[in-house]
Amino acid sequence: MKNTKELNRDLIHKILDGDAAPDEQLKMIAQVQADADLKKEFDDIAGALHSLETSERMPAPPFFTAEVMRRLPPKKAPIGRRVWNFLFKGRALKWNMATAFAATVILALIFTQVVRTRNAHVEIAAVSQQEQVVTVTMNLHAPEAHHVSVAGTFNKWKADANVLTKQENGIWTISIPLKPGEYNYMFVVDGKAWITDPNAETYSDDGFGNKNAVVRVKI
Amino acid sequence: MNISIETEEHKIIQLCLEGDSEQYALLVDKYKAMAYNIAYRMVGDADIAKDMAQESFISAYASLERFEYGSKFSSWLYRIVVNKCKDHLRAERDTVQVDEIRDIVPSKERTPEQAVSSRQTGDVIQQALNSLPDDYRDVIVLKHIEELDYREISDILGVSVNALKVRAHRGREMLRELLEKMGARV
Repeated sequence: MKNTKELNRDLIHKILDGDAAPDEQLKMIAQVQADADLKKEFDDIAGALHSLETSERMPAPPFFTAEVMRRLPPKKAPIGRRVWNFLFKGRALKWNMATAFAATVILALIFTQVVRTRNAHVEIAAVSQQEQVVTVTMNLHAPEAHHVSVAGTFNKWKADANVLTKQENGIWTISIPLKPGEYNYMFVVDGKAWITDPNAETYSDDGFGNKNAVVRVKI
Repeated sequence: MNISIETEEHKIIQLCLEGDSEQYALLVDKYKAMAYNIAYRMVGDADIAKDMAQESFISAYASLERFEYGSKFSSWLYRIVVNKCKDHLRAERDTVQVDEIRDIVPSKERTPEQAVSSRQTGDVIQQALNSLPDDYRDVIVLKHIEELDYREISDILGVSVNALKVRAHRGREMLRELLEKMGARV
């Protein structure tokens, strides 16, 4: 059998858990007012709980989510879902300068080859009647540039002789008729920066520690 | 939590299971504060609490296949947090030397300055919590700090509501006695 003190204690916790009936609560209020020890016990527990309930809530430490995400074990989707995702799911490509440069080189190379082939066709059709000339197309991806020209052995390194045209995709382009032979050249960006063509067929040392782009024109 | 939020979370879990792990960041962001706070109150150390909470999210992700769609992600996550913290406390106790025990038992030899400082930062409460048995501490933390109801705590801890009430009762009594011994007027 529990004594009165224990029964009162049970009732205190019943009240704290919200399980006490209204008459039990009234009984406890009367007893607490009459018994100083019981009042202290009730006040101490209520005070402790108040401290717990109002205790400081700390925000999660900085970078919490990023650290969790970095440490997640790989989870492979079912094969069917992976194929579906590959084909139909939107994706964000992550770029850095190296991949951007590599992609530019590949795109420009494909573009140059296509144009060159097409132009070569046109020129070869014409060469039999006139002088043997091949139209060479040069490209430079420079979306930020305001002016791009090409200077080389075919125009006596004049920076203003052959000006490229900017296309919407940021690629500057020019087609120049050249006789068969080997030519060194450089792009001149905004009248001051001399840039070696990253898509050149080959390169030659310019004698000043830089490399000139080289184009070989053949029929 | 209402039905639509649960459905939204189940959708996120489904996407994670289909390989879209980036979606998991939404769940981490949503529950990181509570997971961290539960862990902090369980282990009483900010760095360890961070480890416990982060490892809980990682464990939950690793076993997402076992998540039952009829239940709440938060309850499932908090169960993992509480269990990890208890495992940690158990392992720590196993390695604590007898002569170090006095450091985690409330000491009466604190200076008044320390007592005031502790009281101001809420450390008294944490010290008292640290001294509770694990099975009382978890229910006190979830009930009186996180203010969850007994039904949810029952889901989290896998203990019946009646058994939880008994533990809460005993835990509160111990807390009161500890605080009295520590001379804290709360």
